[in-house]
Amino acid sequence: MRGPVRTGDAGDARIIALIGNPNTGKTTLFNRISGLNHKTSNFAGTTLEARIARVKAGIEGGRDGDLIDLPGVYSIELEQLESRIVREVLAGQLAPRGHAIGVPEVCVVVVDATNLARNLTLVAEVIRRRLPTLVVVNMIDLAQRQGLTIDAHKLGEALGCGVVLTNARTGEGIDQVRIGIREARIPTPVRAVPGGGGGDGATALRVWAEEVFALAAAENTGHCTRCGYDVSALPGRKGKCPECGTPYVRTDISASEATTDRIDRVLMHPVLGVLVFAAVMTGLFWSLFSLAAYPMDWIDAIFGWTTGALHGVLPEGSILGDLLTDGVVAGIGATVIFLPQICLLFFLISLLEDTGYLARAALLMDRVLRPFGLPGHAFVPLLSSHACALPGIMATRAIPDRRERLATILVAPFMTCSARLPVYVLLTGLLFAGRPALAALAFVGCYALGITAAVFSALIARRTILRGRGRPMVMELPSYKLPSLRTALITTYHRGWVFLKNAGTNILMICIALWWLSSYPKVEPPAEAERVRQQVALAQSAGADELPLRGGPDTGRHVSIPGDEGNGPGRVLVHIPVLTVEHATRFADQLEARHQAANSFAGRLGRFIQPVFAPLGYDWQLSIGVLSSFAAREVFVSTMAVVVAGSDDAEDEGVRAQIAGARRDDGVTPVFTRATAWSLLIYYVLAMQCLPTLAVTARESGSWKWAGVQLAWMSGLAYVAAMTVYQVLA
Amino acid sequence: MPTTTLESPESHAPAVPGEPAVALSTLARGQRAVVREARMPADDAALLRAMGLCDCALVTVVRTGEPCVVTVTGVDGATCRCHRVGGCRIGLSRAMAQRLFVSIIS
Repeated sequence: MRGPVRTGDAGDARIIALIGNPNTGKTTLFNRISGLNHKTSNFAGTTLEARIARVKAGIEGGRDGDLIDLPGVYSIELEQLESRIVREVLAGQLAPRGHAIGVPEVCVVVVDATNLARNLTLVAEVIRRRLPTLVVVNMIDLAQRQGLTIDAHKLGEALGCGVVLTNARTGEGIDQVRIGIREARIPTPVRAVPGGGGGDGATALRVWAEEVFALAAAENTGHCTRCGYDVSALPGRKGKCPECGTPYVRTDISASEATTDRIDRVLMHPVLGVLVFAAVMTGLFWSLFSLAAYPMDWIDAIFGWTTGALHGVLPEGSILGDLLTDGVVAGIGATVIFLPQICLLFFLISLLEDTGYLARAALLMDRVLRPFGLPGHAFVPLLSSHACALPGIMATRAIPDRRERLATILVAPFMTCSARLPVYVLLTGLLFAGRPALAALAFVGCYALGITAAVFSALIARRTILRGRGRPMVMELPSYKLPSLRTALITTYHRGWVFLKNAGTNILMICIALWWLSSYPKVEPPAEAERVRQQVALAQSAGADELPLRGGPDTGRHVSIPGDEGNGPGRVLVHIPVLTVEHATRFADQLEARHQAANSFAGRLGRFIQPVFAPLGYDWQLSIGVLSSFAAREVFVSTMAVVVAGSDDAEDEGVRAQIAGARRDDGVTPVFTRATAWSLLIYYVLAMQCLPTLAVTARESGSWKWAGVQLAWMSGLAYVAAMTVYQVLA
Repeated sequence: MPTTTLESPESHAPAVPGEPAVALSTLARGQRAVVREARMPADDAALLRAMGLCDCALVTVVRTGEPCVVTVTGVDGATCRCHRVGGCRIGLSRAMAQRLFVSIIS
């Protein structure tokens, strides 16, 4: 559990622990205090994220403080990872990585004003620890709307510590929180906090909390809070008491509850609830696919332009130039291109979570996923993985149980992501040329196979390497409310930055390594390319625009000359294609590109490992395609275009035709037979052909071991399935 | 300022100690009950207690079936009876609701 103790830049700053139940607006409050100015780290020995914000000392002096956002817990005493972390931080035994260990000098306990009685049990647990404490009663606006009045002064007296009422969404009361932190003292509650644990202890604590609540809170009974005048019969919700002039807001908590009941009845209905959920998820999924496409295209264009500009400036063929353009810039582009989907997903999830809907959706989907050992929380990450596994895996942070979260991370890449689509298009196009309905059916089958593989892999994982009881499905259902745009934007910024900083660095290094493998060593141009260039030079010197090129690609125009076989009138005519000078030059370039691809380190590796892929029906060309697409699945199509056609324009119809008609070394056997195409399709549905995903898995699981398990399981399953398909069909 | 009463309202007939407990999953929507016992692993029971479903917690069933939803509206203990309208809303799987035993009060 404990990691190495290091003293980072915390210096002698005070440690301020931010504690609270889930759904109390603790993170909103943290964002209000820190803005964008906070750091992220992990609690040593765990993958649980710690966020730390520097709280500046006031103008009257004092010391700066480091506000640590602790995981949301219902009790400090539970045997759950989050509770253990809070317990150890409060005991001065644990700190975020890079921060000095120490007992917090202030505990800020955030409680939900609409659920104060239950939240006060956590306050009691903190009071027992005898640390300077400040209680922040958040969402006070919602409580007032429900007709609940909380007297901060009375609550402070009952608890014996500072109490601040806030609305973190609007920023109301945040300045008082800063002052309260400075003035926090060890609580001296009017009624002593009962000790002991277990069932009786919990009940005693709850009774204590109810008593404190009763001292400090009042439900609106339809009477003036000052003089007791009955305002229930007066017109309008708001007004002034005719007796004493005190403003009143007449609310009815029963009505508020009834509204929540009505909404819940729809959203959690076995049929209606699922329909609403399907509609919401369709919207989310559509947004990820379509809305994110625009910024992704812009990023692609910007990096394409940058690469072109650098090519123009840097000396052609230099290692530095190639490294900068095809390695570094392409690598950064390959990282940044994921940002729109990641940001959009977290923005939308944050909005949904804030409304209170996501908790209900998780509860609803639990019965669907539970038989496979996954919790209802796993649904959104798995669905998001259909756009891209990276944001999907990052979204698993919402899953509280470690084993269930790991299982979801491991199987998320089985979902058909957008990077697989070009491969599916190519292969289904080859398999069902001119039969779009069948191609579409095969597409749907690929999606279904990915989902099936995911849920059954999860089941296997949960019964073997991740064996153990999951958390019981018990969830607090927060009140419905309008989402906070500010919180969503800050969360989005934060998630995007974490991705760039951590996973992005790995992805960049991987891209540079793969660029080097596929670009080096530089080889001499093939003799045939030299011959073509010589003929082009001759034609240009003679002022011709066209030239006959023996062995050139079929252009539909040719010259016929007598061949070497036969004599006299019986001589056989040979048709030689006629190419324009430009076309012939391009043909020479393609020959060189093919030769370079085949003789690069990646090409040599492809030839070397071809025997491994032989049972799947792949020749050396397909082996290079599979190997190079290990960086990203869509690279398979462009690699095949280079290896087979010598062009990296895989969208070109001519190049596609060349890929479809490609032959093996014997010049007769097609590269893509029906058996190899099916085998490849199955392979790409199941295989872990995405290094960025592995990098994110390692980051989110806290260990490369899990990335290795993911790679071995998915690749092994893909290999066996593809081999079976090939052997049956061949 | 009127304060929340610690007495149970008239409509709330206190549960009789020793009254046979039934599984929460058997209650109908709108029924109120007092939590008596959680027959489940200690960790799960501790989580329920921390979330407010401790012994003596007053609950009102909002939704039956899968999932079951209740609101925790107060406590009905030996020294303290407190009932409020509203309170925290908790959703449980049917399996959990089958293991949480309550005494029906209305």
